[in-house]
Amino acid sequence: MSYDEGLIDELMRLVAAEVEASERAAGVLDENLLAWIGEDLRKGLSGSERAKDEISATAFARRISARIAALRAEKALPQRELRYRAAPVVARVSRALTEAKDRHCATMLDLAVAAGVGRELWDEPCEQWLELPPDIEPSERFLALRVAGDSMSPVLESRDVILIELNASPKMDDLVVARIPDQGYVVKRVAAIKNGRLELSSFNPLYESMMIVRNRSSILGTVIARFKHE
Amino acid sequence: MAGGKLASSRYPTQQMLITAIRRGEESALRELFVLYGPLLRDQAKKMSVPLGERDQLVQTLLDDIALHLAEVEIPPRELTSYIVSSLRNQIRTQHRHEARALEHNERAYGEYGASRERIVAECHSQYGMRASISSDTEVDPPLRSAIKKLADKSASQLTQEELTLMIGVGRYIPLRHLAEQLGLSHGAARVRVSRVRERFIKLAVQYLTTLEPREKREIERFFRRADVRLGPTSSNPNADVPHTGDKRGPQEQL
Repeated sequence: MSYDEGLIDELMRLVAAEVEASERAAGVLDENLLAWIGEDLRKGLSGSERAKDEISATAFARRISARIAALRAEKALPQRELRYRAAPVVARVSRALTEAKDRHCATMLDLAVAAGVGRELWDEPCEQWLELPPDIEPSERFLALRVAGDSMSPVLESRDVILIELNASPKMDDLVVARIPDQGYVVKRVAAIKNGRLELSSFNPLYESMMIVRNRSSILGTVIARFKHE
Repeated sequence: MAGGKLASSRYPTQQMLITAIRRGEESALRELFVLYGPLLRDQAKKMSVPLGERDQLVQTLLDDIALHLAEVEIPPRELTSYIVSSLRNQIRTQHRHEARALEHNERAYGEYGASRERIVAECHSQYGMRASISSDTEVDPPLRSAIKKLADKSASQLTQEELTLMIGVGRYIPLRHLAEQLGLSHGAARVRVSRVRERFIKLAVQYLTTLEPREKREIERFFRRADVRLGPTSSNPNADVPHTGDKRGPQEQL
Protein backbone atom coordinates (compact mmCIF):
# COMPACT_ATOMS: atom_id res chain seq x y z
CA MET A 1 0.00 0.00 0.00
CA SER A 2 1.22 3.50 -0.60
CA TYR A 3 -0.13 6.52 1.16
CA ASP A 4 1.09 9.62 2.89
CA GLU A 5 2.88 8.07 5.86
CA GLY A 6 3.39 11.44 7.48
CA LEU A 7 -0.34 12.05 7.74
CA ILE A 8 -1.05 8.54 8.99
CA ASP A 9 1.69 9.02 11.56
CA GLU A 10 0.00 12.28 12.56
CA LEU A 11 -3.26 10.44 13.21
CA MET A 12 -1.40 7.68 15.05
CA ARG A 13 0.24 10.35 17.19
CA LEU A 14 -3.13 11.71 18.25
CA VAL A 15 -4.43 8.21 18.98
CA ALA A 16 -1.25 7.16 20.82
CA ALA A 17 -1.44 10.27 23.03
CA GLU A 18 -5.04 9.38 23.84
CA VAL A 19 -4.05 5.78 24.64
CA GLU A 20 -1.40 7.08 27.02
CA ALA A 21 -3.87 9.37 28.76
CA SER A 22 -6.63 6.78 29.04
CA GLU A 23 -7.39 4.47 31.95
CA ARG A 24 -6.29 1.56 29.79
CA ALA A 25 -2.75 2.91 29.72
CA ALA A 26 -1.80 0.84 32.76
CA GLY A 27 -2.05 -2.28 30.64
CA VAL A 28 -0.18 -0.73 27.76
CA LEU A 29 2.61 1.21 29.44
CA ASP A 30 4.63 -1.64 30.90
CA GLU A 31 7.81 -1.29 32.93
CA ASN A 32 10.16 -1.40 29.96
CA LEU A 33 8.18 1.02 27.86
CA LEU A 34 7.90 3.51 30.71
CA ALA A 35 11.61 3.26 31.50
CA TRP A 36 12.37 3.81 27.86
CA ILE A 37 10.05 6.82 27.57
CA GLY A 38 11.58 8.25 30.75
CA GLU A 39 15.08 7.91 29.35
CA ASP A 40 14.05 9.51 26.10
CA LEU A 41 12.48 12.43 27.98
CA ARG A 42 15.63 12.91 30.07
CA LYS A 43 17.76 12.96 26.94
CA GLY A 44 15.48 15.60 25.48
CA LEU A 45 15.79 18.03 28.41
CA SER A 46 17.33 21.40 27.60
CA GLY A 47 20.33 22.66 29.57
CA SER A 48 18.22 24.96 31.72
CA GLU A 49 15.60 22.26 32.40
CA ARG A 50 18.36 19.89 33.43
CA ALA A 51 19.91 22.49 35.74
CA LYS A 52 16.51 23.20 37.30
CA ASP A 53 15.98 19.47 37.87
CA GLU A 54 19.42 19.15 39.49
CA ILE A 55 18.63 21.93 41.95
CA SER A 56 15.21 20.49 42.78
CA ALA A 57 16.71 16.99 43.12
CA THR A 58 19.32 18.20 45.61
CA ALA A 59 16.73 19.97 47.76
CA PHE A 60 14.43 16.94 47.55
CA ALA A 61 17.21 14.52 48.55
CA ARG A 62 18.25 16.64 51.50
CA ARG A 63 14.69 17.02 52.77
CA ILE A 64 13.69 13.37 52.36
CA SER A 65 16.95 11.97 53.67
CA ALA A 66 16.41 14.00 56.87
CA ARG A 67 12.80 12.83 57.06
CA ILE A 68 13.75 9.14 56.65
CA ALA A 69 16.38 9.50 59.36
CA ALA A 70 13.78 11.16 61.61
CA LEU A 71 11.32 8.31 61.06
CA ARG A 72 14.01 5.80 61.99
CA ALA A 73 14.94 7.75 65.10
CA GLU A 74 11.29 8.06 66.15
CA LYS A 75 11.00 4.29 65.91
CA ALA A 76 14.27 3.60 67.73
CA LEU A 77 13.57 6.10 70.50
CA PRO A 78 9.87 5.99 71.32
CA GLN A 79 8.59 9.06 73.09
CA ARG A 80 8.23 8.70 76.84
CA GLU A 81 6.37 10.64 79.48
CA LEU A 82 8.48 13.28 81.16
CA ARG A 83 8.55 13.14 84.95
CA TYR A 84 11.02 15.10 86.98
CA ARG A 85 11.51 16.26 90.52
CA ALA A 86 13.47 18.93 92.33
CA ALA A 87 16.91 17.78 93.36
CA PRO A 88 17.02 17.29 97.17
CA VAL A 89 20.36 19.08 97.24
CA VAL A 90 21.59 21.51 94.59
CA ALA A 91 24.99 20.20 93.60
CA ARG A 92 27.32 20.16 90.61
CA VAL A 93 26.56 17.49 88.03
CA SER A 94 29.76 15.63 88.82
CA ARG A 95 28.69 15.27 92.43
CA ALA A 96 25.01 14.52 91.84
CA LEU A 97 25.31 11.57 89.43
CA THR A 98 25.63 8.86 92.09
CA GLU A 99 22.98 10.26 94.38
CA ALA A 100 20.48 10.59 91.53
CA LYS A 101 21.16 7.00 90.47
CA ASP A 102 20.41 5.73 93.98
CA ARG A 103 16.96 7.31 93.75
CA HIS A 104 16.19 5.90 90.29
CA CYS A 105 16.79 9.29 88.67
CA ALA A 106 19.25 11.05 86.41
CA THR A 107 20.55 14.57 86.94
CA MET A 108 19.02 17.05 84.51
CA LEU A 109 20.50 20.13 82.85
CA ASP A 110 19.46 22.61 80.20
CA LEU A 111 21.41 21.96 77.02
CA ALA A 112 21.14 25.68 76.27
CA VAL A 113 22.98 26.42 79.52
CA ALA A 114 25.48 23.67 78.89
CA ALA A 115 26.01 24.95 75.37
CA GLY A 116 27.59 28.16 76.63
CA VAL A 117 31.03 28.41 75.10
CA GLY A 118 33.86 27.83 77.53
CA ARG A 119 31.63 26.44 80.28
CA GLU A 120 32.33 23.07 81.75
CA LEU A 121 29.27 20.85 81.96
CA TRP A 122 30.42 19.09 85.09
CA ASP A 123 30.57 22.37 87.00
CA GLU A 124 26.94 23.31 86.32
CA PRO A 125 24.67 23.25 89.37
CA CYS A 126 21.92 20.68 89.02
CA GLU A 127 18.50 21.64 90.40
CA GLN A 128 16.28 19.00 88.81
CA TRP A 129 16.34 15.27 88.36
CA LEU A 130 14.63 13.19 85.72
CA GLU A 131 12.66 10.26 87.12
CA LEU A 132 13.68 7.22 85.14
CA PRO A 133 10.96 4.94 83.78
CA PRO A 134 10.83 1.51 85.49
CA ASP A 135 12.29 -0.27 82.45
CA ILE A 136 15.49 1.78 82.52
CA GLU A 137 18.05 0.53 84.98
CA PRO A 138 19.65 3.58 86.69
CA SER A 139 23.33 4.22 86.13
CA GLU A 140 25.96 6.76 87.14
CA ARG A 141 26.64 7.13 83.46
CA PHE A 142 23.21 8.68 82.79
CA LEU A 143 22.64 12.38 82.32
CA ALA A 144 19.41 14.11 81.24
CA LEU A 145 19.53 17.22 79.06
CA ARG A 146 16.75 19.61 78.14
CA VAL A 147 16.93 20.33 74.41
CA ALA A 148 17.05 23.87 73.01
CA GLY A 149 16.51 24.90 69.37
CA ASP A 150 14.78 23.34 66.38
CA SER A 151 17.66 21.67 64.55
CA MET A 152 16.43 18.20 65.54
CA SER A 153 12.76 18.86 64.84
CA PRO A 154 10.50 16.86 64.39
CA VAL A 155 12.13 14.19 66.59
CA LEU A 156 13.25 16.58 69.32
CA GLU A 157 11.51 19.86 69.94
CA SER A 158 12.70 22.65 72.18
CA ARG A 159 12.27 21.74 75.88
CA ASP A 160 12.05 17.98 75.23
CA VAL A 161 14.39 16.02 77.46
CA ILE A 162 16.92 13.40 76.33
CA LEU A 163 18.64 10.81 78.45
CA ILE A 164 22.22 10.18 77.41
CA GLU A 165 24.67 7.49 78.33
CA LEU A 166 28.03 9.12 78.94
CA ASN A 167 31.09 7.98 77.02
CA ALA A 168 29.20 5.48 74.91
CA SER A 169 30.62 4.59 71.48
CA PRO A 170 28.29 6.02 68.87
CA LYS A 171 27.25 4.00 65.84
CA MET A 172 25.68 5.08 62.56
CA ASP A 173 22.27 6.72 63.03
CA ASP A 174 22.77 7.15 66.81
CA LEU A 175 21.81 10.49 68.30
CA VAL A 176 24.77 11.92 70.18
CA VAL A 177 25.60 14.96 72.25
CA ALA A 178 28.82 16.36 70.87
CA ARG A 179 31.07 19.17 71.98
CA ILE A 180 31.71 21.54 69.10
CA PRO A 181 34.40 24.21 69.38
CA ASP A 182 32.76 27.67 69.49
CA GLN A 183 29.26 26.17 69.81
CA GLY A 184 29.39 24.18 73.02
CA TYR A 185 27.22 21.05 73.27
CA VAL A 186 24.84 20.04 70.50
CA VAL A 187 22.62 17.04 69.91
CA LYS A 188 22.95 15.56 66.40
CA ARG A 189 22.59 12.35 64.44
CA VAL A 190 25.61 10.35 63.30
CA ALA A 191 25.14 10.41 59.52
CA ALA A 192 28.49 8.86 58.57
CA ILE A 193 31.68 7.54 60.14
CA LYS A 194 34.73 7.97 57.93
CA ASN A 195 38.43 7.75 58.73
CA GLY A 196 38.06 8.48 62.42
CA ARG A 197 35.70 11.37 61.79
CA LEU A 198 31.97 11.63 62.36
CA GLU A 199 29.53 13.44 60.11
CA LEU A 200 26.82 14.90 62.32
CA SER A 201 23.54 15.98 60.78
CA SER A 202 20.26 17.52 61.91
CA PHE A 203 16.74 16.30 61.21
CA ASN A 204 15.78 19.81 60.19
CA PRO A 205 17.07 20.12 56.60
CA LEU A 206 17.66 23.84 57.09
CA TYR A 207 20.74 23.03 59.16
CA GLU A 208 24.03 22.03 57.54
CA SER A 209 25.81 18.88 58.66
CA MET A 210 29.23 19.08 60.34
CA MET A 211 32.34 16.91 60.65
CA ILE A 212 34.09 16.27 63.96
CA VAL A 213 36.97 14.08 65.07
CA ARG A 214 35.78 10.95 66.81
CA ASN A 215 37.27 10.88 70.30
CA ARG A 216 36.27 10.96 73.94
CA SER A 217 36.48 14.71 74.27
CA SER A 218 34.26 15.45 71.26
CA ILE A 219 31.41 13.05 72.12
CA LEU A 220 29.74 13.48 75.49
CA GLY A 221 27.41 10.50 75.10
CA THR A 222 24.69 8.72 73.13
CA VAL A 223 20.95 9.39 73.46
CA ILE A 224 19.13 6.33 74.84
CA ALA A 225 15.66 7.79 75.50
CA ARG A 226 13.63 10.89 74.77
CA PHE A 227 10.89 12.48 76.86
CA LYS A 228 8.23 14.84 75.57
CA HIS A 229 7.97 18.14 77.40
CA GLU A 230 4.62 18.89 79.04
CA MET B 1 12.02 -7.65 44.56
CA ALA B 2 12.50 -4.92 42.04
CA GLY B 3 15.17 -5.94 39.61
CA GLY B 4 14.58 -3.79 36.52
CA LYS B 5 17.53 -2.03 34.95
CA LEU B 6 17.97 1.69 35.44
CA ALA B 7 19.72 4.26 33.31
CA SER B 8 21.92 5.16 36.24
CA SER B 9 25.63 4.47 36.52
CA ARG B 10 25.56 4.57 40.31
CA TYR B 11 22.48 2.40 40.77
CA PRO B 12 22.29 0.10 37.74
CA THR B 13 19.24 -1.79 39.04
CA GLN B 14 16.01 -0.74 40.71
CA GLN B 15 16.80 -2.98 43.65
CA MET B 16 20.07 -1.16 44.30
CA LEU B 17 18.31 2.19 44.12
CA ILE B 18 15.55 1.08 46.51
CA THR B 19 18.05 -0.37 48.99
CA ALA B 20 19.97 2.90 49.02
CA ILE B 21 16.75 4.91 49.43
CA ARG B 22 15.82 2.73 52.39
CA ARG B 23 19.14 3.67 53.95
CA GLY B 24 18.24 7.31 53.37
CA GLU B 25 21.20 7.96 51.06
CA GLU B 26 20.96 11.44 49.58
CA SER B 27 22.58 10.37 46.32
CA ALA B 28 19.91 7.70 45.78
CA LEU B 29 17.11 10.15 46.51
CA ARG B 30 18.66 12.60 44.08
CA GLU B 31 18.79 9.87 41.47
CA LEU B 32 15.14 9.00 42.09
CA PHE B 33 14.14 12.60 41.38
CA VAL B 34 16.35 12.98 38.30
CA LEU B 35 15.28 9.62 36.83
CA TYR B 36 11.56 9.96 37.34
CA GLY B 37 10.88 13.72 37.38
CA PRO B 38 10.66 14.20 33.58
CA LEU B 39 8.55 11.05 33.08
CA LEU B 40 6.10 12.05 35.81
CA ARG B 41 5.77 15.61 34.52
CA ASP B 42 5.09 14.21 31.07
CA GLN B 43 2.44 11.84 32.43
CA ALA B 44 0.83 14.71 34.33
CA LYS B 45 0.77 16.71 31.10
CA LYS B 46 -0.84 13.82 29.24
CA MET B 47 -3.49 13.68 31.94
CA SER B 48 -4.29 17.39 31.51
CA VAL B 49 -2.72 18.70 34.72
CA PRO B 50 -2.10 22.44 34.19
CA LEU B 51 1.54 23.44 33.66
CA GLY B 52 1.69 25.51 36.84
CA GLU B 53 0.63 22.54 39.01
CA ARG B 54 2.84 19.81 37.55
CA ASP B 55 6.09 20.47 39.44
CA GLN B 56 4.36 20.59 42.80
CA LEU B 57 2.33 17.49 42.07
CA VAL B 58 5.41 15.51 41.04
CA GLN B 59 7.41 16.73 44.02
CA THR B 60 4.68 15.78 46.50
CA LEU B 61 4.28 12.39 44.90
CA LEU B 62 8.03 11.66 44.98
CA ASP B 63 8.10 12.73 48.65
CA ASP B 64 5.40 10.17 49.43
CA ILE B 65 7.00 7.46 47.29
CA ALA B 66 10.43 7.88 48.86
CA LEU B 67 9.02 7.78 52.40
CA HIS B 68 6.90 4.79 51.50
CA LEU B 69 9.90 2.94 50.04
CA ALA B 70 11.86 3.68 53.18
CA GLU B 71 9.20 2.18 55.41
CA VAL B 72 7.50 -0.60 53.49
CA GLU B 73 8.54 -4.21 54.15
CA ILE B 74 8.24 -5.44 50.58
CA PRO B 75 9.13 -2.88 47.92
CA PRO B 76 7.28 -2.83 44.57
CA ARG B 77 8.50 -5.30 41.96
CA GLU B 78 8.42 -2.77 39.16
CA LEU B 79 9.35 0.66 40.41
CA THR B 80 8.64 2.68 37.26
CA SER B 81 5.16 1.22 36.78
CA TYR B 82 4.48 1.65 40.48
CA ILE B 83 5.46 5.32 40.49
CA VAL B 84 3.57 6.13 37.30
CA SER B 85 0.45 4.28 38.51
CA SER B 86 0.58 6.20 41.78
CA LEU B 87 0.68 9.49 39.90
CA ARG B 88 -2.14 8.50 37.56
CA ASN B 89 -4.32 7.35 40.46
CA GLN B 90 -3.68 10.58 42.30
CA ILE B 91 -4.58 12.68 39.27
CA ARG B 92 -7.70 10.60 38.61
CA THR B 93 -8.82 11.07 42.22
CA GLN B 94 -8.19 14.80 41.91
CA HIS B 95 -10.19 14.95 38.68
CA ARG B 96 -13.06 13.05 40.31
CA HIS B 97 -13.11 15.48 43.24
CA GLU B 98 -13.13 18.44 40.88
CA ALA B 99 -15.92 16.91 38.81
CA ARG B 100 -17.93 16.23 41.96
CA ALA B 101 -17.44 19.80 43.17
CA LEU B 102 -18.48 21.15 39.79
CA GLU B 103 -21.56 18.94 39.74
CA HIS B 104 -22.42 20.08 43.24
CA ASN B 105 -22.17 23.73 42.17
CA GLU B 106 -24.22 23.13 39.06
CA ARG B 107 -26.94 21.47 41.11
CA ALA B 108 -27.00 24.40 43.47
CA TYR B 109 -27.73 26.72 40.52
CA GLY B 110 -30.71 24.65 39.49
CA GLU B 111 -32.26 24.12 42.92
CA TYR B 112 -34.86 26.62 43.99
CA GLY B 113 -35.21 27.34 47.66
CA ALA B 114 -37.65 29.46 49.58
CA SER B 115 -35.53 32.59 49.47
CA ARG B 116 -36.22 35.22 46.78
CA GLU B 117 -32.58 36.23 46.79
CA ARG B 118 -31.64 32.85 45.43
CA ILE B 119 -33.89 33.26 42.42
CA VAL B 120 -32.35 36.65 41.68
CA ALA B 121 -28.87 35.15 42.00
CA GLU B 122 -29.80 32.27 39.74
CA CYS B 123 -30.99 34.66 37.02
CA HIS B 124 -27.55 36.22 36.86
CA SER B 125 -25.60 33.05 37.45
CA GLN B 126 -23.01 31.30 35.39
CA TYR B 127 -25.67 28.67 34.79
CA GLY B 128 -28.00 31.24 33.30
CA MET B 129 -25.29 32.62 31.08
CA ARG B 130 -24.34 29.19 29.86
CA ALA B 131 -27.92 28.17 29.28
CA SER B 132 -28.30 31.07 26.85
CA ILE B 133 -25.41 29.81 24.71
CA SER B 134 -26.03 27.20 22.02
CA SER B 135 -25.57 23.67 23.30
CA ASP B 136 -23.25 22.90 20.39
CA THR B 137 -20.43 24.84 22.00
CA GLU B 138 -20.21 22.36 24.84
CA VAL B 139 -19.98 19.25 22.68
CA ASP B 140 -16.51 17.76 22.19
CA PRO B 141 -15.12 18.48 18.75
CA PRO B 142 -15.91 15.44 16.61
CA LEU B 143 -12.27 14.68 15.83
CA ARG B 144 -11.43 14.48 19.52
CA SER B 145 -14.20 12.05 20.32
CA ALA B 146 -13.36 9.97 17.24
CA ILE B 147 -9.73 9.79 18.37
CA LYS B 148 -10.85 8.70 21.82
CA LYS B 149 -12.83 5.86 20.35
CA LEU B 150 -9.97 4.84 18.07
CA ALA B 151 -7.64 4.90 21.08
CA ASP B 152 -9.95 2.53 22.94
CA LYS B 153 -10.05 0.17 19.99
CA SER B 154 -6.29 0.35 19.47
CA ALA B 155 -5.58 -0.40 23.13
CA SER B 156 -7.75 -3.48 23.00
CA GLN B 157 -6.93 -4.75 19.50
CA LEU B 158 -3.24 -4.05 18.93
CA THR B 159 -0.49 -6.16 20.45
CA GLN B 160 1.88 -4.78 23.08
CA GLU B 161 4.62 -4.47 20.49
CA GLU B 162 2.34 -2.66 18.06
CA LEU B 163 1.25 -0.26 20.77
CA THR B 164 4.87 0.30 21.79
CA LEU B 165 5.69 1.18 18.19
CA MET B 166 2.65 3.41 17.90
CA ILE B 167 3.56 5.28 21.08
CA GLY B 168 7.15 5.49 19.88
CA VAL B 169 6.02 7.02 16.59
CA GLY B 170 3.69 9.30 18.56
CA ARG B 171 6.60 10.54 20.62
CA TYR B 172 8.86 11.11 17.61
CA ILE B 173 11.33 8.58 18.97
CA PRO B 174 14.05 7.87 16.37
CA LEU B 175 13.77 4.54 14.60
CA ARG B 176 17.15 3.34 15.90
CA HIS B 177 15.93 3.83 19.50
CA LEU B 178 12.75 1.95 18.71
CA ALA B 179 14.85 -0.84 17.26
CA GLU B 180 17.03 -0.94 20.39
CA GLN B 181 14.01 -1.06 22.67
CA LEU B 182 12.50 -3.96 20.78
CA GLY B 183 15.80 -5.73 20.21
CA LEU B 184 15.52 -5.48 16.43
CA SER B 185 17.74 -4.35 13.61
CA HIS B 186 17.08 -0.94 12.09
CA GLY B 187 15.65 -2.55 8.96
CA ALA B 188 13.38 -4.88 10.91
CA ALA B 189 12.09 -1.99 13.01
CA ARG B 190 11.32 -0.04 9.83
CA VAL B 191 9.29 -2.96 8.52
CA ARG B 192 7.42 -3.31 11.84
CA VAL B 193 6.56 0.40 11.91
CA SER B 194 5.26 0.06 8.41
CA ARG B 195 3.12 -2.90 9.44
CA VAL B 196 1.77 -0.99 12.40
CA ARG B 197 0.61 1.77 10.06
CA GLU B 198 -1.18 -0.79 7.94
CA ARG B 199 -2.73 -2.42 11.01
CA PHE B 200 -3.76 0.95 12.32
CA ILE B 201 -5.38 1.97 9.04
CA LYS B 202 -7.20 -1.36 8.87
CA LEU B 203 -8.41 -0.99 12.42
CA ALA B 204 -9.53 2.60 11.90
CA VAL B 205 -11.39 1.73 8.70
CA GLN B 206 -13.02 -1.24 10.38
CA TYR B 207 -14.36 0.96 13.14
CA LEU B 208 -15.37 3.89 10.95
CA THR B 209 -18.89 2.52 10.79
CA THR B 210 -19.23 2.57 14.56
CA LEU B 211 -18.47 6.30 14.72
CA GLU B 212 -21.00 9.10 14.76
CA PRO B 213 -21.45 10.67 11.30
CA ARG B 214 -19.55 13.82 12.32
CA GLU B 215 -16.69 11.79 13.81
CA LYS B 216 -16.63 9.54 10.79
CA ARG B 217 -16.37 12.51 8.45
CA GLU B 218 -13.31 13.80 10.32
CA ILE B 219 -11.46 10.48 10.09
CA GLU B 220 -12.44 10.03 6.46
CA ARG B 221 -11.07 13.48 5.72
CA PHE B 222 -7.77 12.47 7.33
CA PHE B 223 -7.59 9.35 5.21
CA ARG B 224 -8.49 11.23 2.04
CA ARG B 225 -5.65 13.67 2.66
CA ALA B 226 -3.30 10.75 3.32
CA ASP B 227 -4.40 9.20 0.05
CA VAL B 228 -5.93 6.15 1.69
CA ARG B 229 -8.82 5.38 -0.64
CA LEU B 230 -11.66 4.08 1.44
CA GLY B 231 -13.97 3.06 -1.38
CA PRO B 232 -17.04 1.21 -0.19
CA THR B 233 -15.31 -0.05 2.96
CA SER B 234 -16.26 2.84 5.17
CA SER B 235 -19.89 1.92 4.92
CA ASN B 236 -19.30 -1.83 4.92
CA PRO B 237 -18.08 -3.16 8.25
CA ASN B 238 -17.20 -6.54 6.78
CA ALA B 239 -14.85 -5.17 4.18
CA ASP B 240 -11.87 -4.14 6.24
CA VAL B 241 -9.14 -3.71 3.66
CA PRO B 242 -8.68 -0.10 2.58
CA HIS B 243 -7.58 0.88 -0.92
CA THR B 244 -4.68 3.20 -1.29
CA GLY B 245 -3.74 5.59 -4.02
CA ASP B 246 -0.59 5.65 -6.14
CA LYS B 247 1.06 8.60 -4.55
CA ARG B 248 4.29 7.65 -2.74
CA GLY B 249 4.57 8.82 0.83
CA PRO B 250 7.46 10.97 2.06
CA GLN B 251 10.70 9.42 3.17
CA GLU B 252 10.77 7.53 6.45
CA GLN B 253 10.10 10.18 9.06
CA LEU B 254 11.60 8.40 12.03
